[in-house]
Amino acid sequence: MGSTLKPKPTDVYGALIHMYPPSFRKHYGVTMVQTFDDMLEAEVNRTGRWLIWIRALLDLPLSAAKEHITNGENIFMNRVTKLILIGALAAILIVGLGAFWFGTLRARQNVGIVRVGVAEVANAMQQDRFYADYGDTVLLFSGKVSTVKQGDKATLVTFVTDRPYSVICQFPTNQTVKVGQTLSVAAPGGNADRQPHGVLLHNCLEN
Amino acid sequence: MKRQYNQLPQVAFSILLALSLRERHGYEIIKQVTEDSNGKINLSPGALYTSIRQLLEHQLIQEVWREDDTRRRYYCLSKKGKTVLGAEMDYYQNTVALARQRQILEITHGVYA
Repeated sequence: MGSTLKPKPTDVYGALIHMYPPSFRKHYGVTMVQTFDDMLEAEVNRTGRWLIWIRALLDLPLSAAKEHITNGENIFMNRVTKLILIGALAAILIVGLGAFWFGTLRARQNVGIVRVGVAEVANAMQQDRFYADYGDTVLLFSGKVSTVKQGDKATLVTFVTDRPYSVICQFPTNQTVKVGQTLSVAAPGGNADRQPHGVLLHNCLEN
Repeated sequence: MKRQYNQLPQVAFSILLALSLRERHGYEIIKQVTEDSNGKINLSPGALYTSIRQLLEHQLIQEVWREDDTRRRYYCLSKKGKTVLGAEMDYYQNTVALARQRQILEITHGVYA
């Protein structure tokens, strides 16, 4: 009894064919169902029939979408289709590049890279305006090395300034630096400590 | 000179090739395409008939009415279809000849591996 109510595979496939545009369905619908039925009839084992179903289900939305897009036009790609595609790709490219440029600009604005003098950095800490001025920035400066202190895992480098205050940079790696050498440094302003006679900048990198 | 070869999508070319021997209906085309491609191309009715529609529009194939089997539509190569398929085959023949000459096939088939 129950088996008579079970829909035939061709009925299901026939219903799925409604995904195609009416004109296509009208012309090829019946013959597509017939071909699908022929395929299932010829396949003797159950796995093979499942494979036919899976392929058909994967293919249906793709080929139906193709028919809707081309809407009866050929997909050997006429000039108009090509132009539309090229235009769409160009628009995507322009929007993508614009977003990248805007994002980079915003990132730069947010991070902020400031080129400063060594004395200026030390002075800012002594005048209690270091975090306000440089807290959200990356400081770029270069100066003459006055002392080098090698630790186990870090190197402390002090720079000469013309002020009573000094700048000490902590490099997280063993740094080969000599006294008297001029060194360019990049240091995050948000990672600094006040020292009695200057400022200690952590996680410095040689620039 | 207008280029007449290497313009066909893979499926369209395979269908023309399948129809080169005789007229066939949908399932016969699918079987022949699978056989010709050593099982690499397995068409479903959707892909088959979208290609068939294009080939009919380009008048590369034509429908054949069969009194003995009215349930199915049969298709055969048109004169234009034969010309296009011939040009396409010429192109591939030249390509294979060139590949042999440059020993590309030997390389890709592992002779020099």
